[in-house]
Amino acid sequence: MTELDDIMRNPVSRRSFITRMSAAGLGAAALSLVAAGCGGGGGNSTPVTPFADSANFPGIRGATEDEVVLNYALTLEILEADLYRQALNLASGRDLTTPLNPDSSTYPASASISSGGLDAGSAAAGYLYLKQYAAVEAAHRDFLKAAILANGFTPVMPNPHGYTAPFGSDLKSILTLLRNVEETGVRAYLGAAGYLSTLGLIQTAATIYSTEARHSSALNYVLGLDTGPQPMPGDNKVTPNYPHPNTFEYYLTPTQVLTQVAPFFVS
Amino acid sequence: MMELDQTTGTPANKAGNSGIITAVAAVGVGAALMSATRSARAVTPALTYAQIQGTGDIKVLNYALSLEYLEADLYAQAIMRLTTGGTNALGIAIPGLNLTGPDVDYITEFAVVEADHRDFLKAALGSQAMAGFKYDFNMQNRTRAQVSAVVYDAELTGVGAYLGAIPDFATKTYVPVAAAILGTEARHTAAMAIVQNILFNTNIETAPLANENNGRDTPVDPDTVLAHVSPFIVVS
Repeated sequence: MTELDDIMRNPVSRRSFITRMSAAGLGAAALSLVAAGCGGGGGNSTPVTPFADSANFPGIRGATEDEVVLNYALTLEILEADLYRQALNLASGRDLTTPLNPDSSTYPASASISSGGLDAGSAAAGYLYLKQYAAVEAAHRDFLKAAILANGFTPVMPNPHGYTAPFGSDLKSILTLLRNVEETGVRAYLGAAGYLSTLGLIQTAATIYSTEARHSSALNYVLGLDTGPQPMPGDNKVTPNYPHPNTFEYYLTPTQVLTQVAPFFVS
Repeated sequence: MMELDQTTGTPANKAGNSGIITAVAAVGVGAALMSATRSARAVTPALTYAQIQGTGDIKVLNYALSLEYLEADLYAQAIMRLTTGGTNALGIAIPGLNLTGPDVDYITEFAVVEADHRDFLKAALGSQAMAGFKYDFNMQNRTRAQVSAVVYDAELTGVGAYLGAIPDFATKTYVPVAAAILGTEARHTAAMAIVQNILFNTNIETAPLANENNGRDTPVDPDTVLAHVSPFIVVS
């Protein structure tokens, strides 16, 4: 029996393929990352209405599963975009609070901080990617917000207290942190896409997911790491046996992801 | 904007095509389609999605398998060309360039992954799996840069293809594994962009820029993908 035959015939395997996130047994850490940020107003007039699977996305608001999943993605994109904004300011010698300028040509040609040991070529490429991806993540955030509104849903708001991360003080440490965020992003999309109700919505989410995979690969490259995927702590597999560590991507459940990123949310 | 150099040709038409280089403007993301000069042996007319075996999820998996067959064979031929040479399934001798470098390293690494994808899908489909074809990439005449260019293009095509096929699934059953393959194709695409930028002073983007489809990859429908790769496919 092949693996996919097994999945087709075995209700447990099949269910786990689609909704295994719900059975990850990580304990439903009752994080309220976003609810805390939007429950008290912030322009959100739609009350949170729990649904059957809401425990899979602790703290993420929405009246339907699609709304929750899209808001989960938006929660992560808001975070990513803001961490990139801060990282780019750090690497460019600007105040941390400076808003992102979407025109990357307005930033210096090269980083104004130590490379942290990266060779000149890797440092130059890494800073270029930092500038490009900062604008891309902001575009993802804005796209998702618009898509949520277009579907008649209510987008989550940014954390009112902002975001923080231990970037370190050189380019290598900054890129390493962003690389970890991107790798988590890849795993977050793969672990959540199955919850969307239609293949069209899944396709839309996947167009973001694949760019996160590209970003991860490129940041790995300039950091001298394998472009991946390589297994990380907590990773789950989409099929039991990976012939090689980099044959397929890995995923994290929403609960795992929200636990990982919680420290970035200023309380 | 970036340019890819593509050449194709077989011994049969080598005299006519030798030296032809088609510069393809690859605008935006997922649009870097190889307008390749077709192999004289290539399937005519181009394969279409209607010709892919099966229905529903099986058809999508066979479509993916057809692309993984091509990719796996492309990588095998690329390694022959970059390293010590060999003979492809068509019996064409491919002289080796005896190179070392990041292109050789990554192509060697990714070749294993693509063979894994092919084998996984083939095993999963079992008796319903389509057979593979033979592939003529004019590998015997490609320069070092042209080898990386066609590998990059195949990976980029794979990204668009997997994205474009998602709505064709009948159920969500196979979406996670298909997406788990898609992610690796996206990683390979970025890595091969960097390899080319390092070795050949190209300026290929690692990912869509913010002003390109909101910084997202672009799905490509199956018939467009099959028309794009058919110039390399030999069916008889």
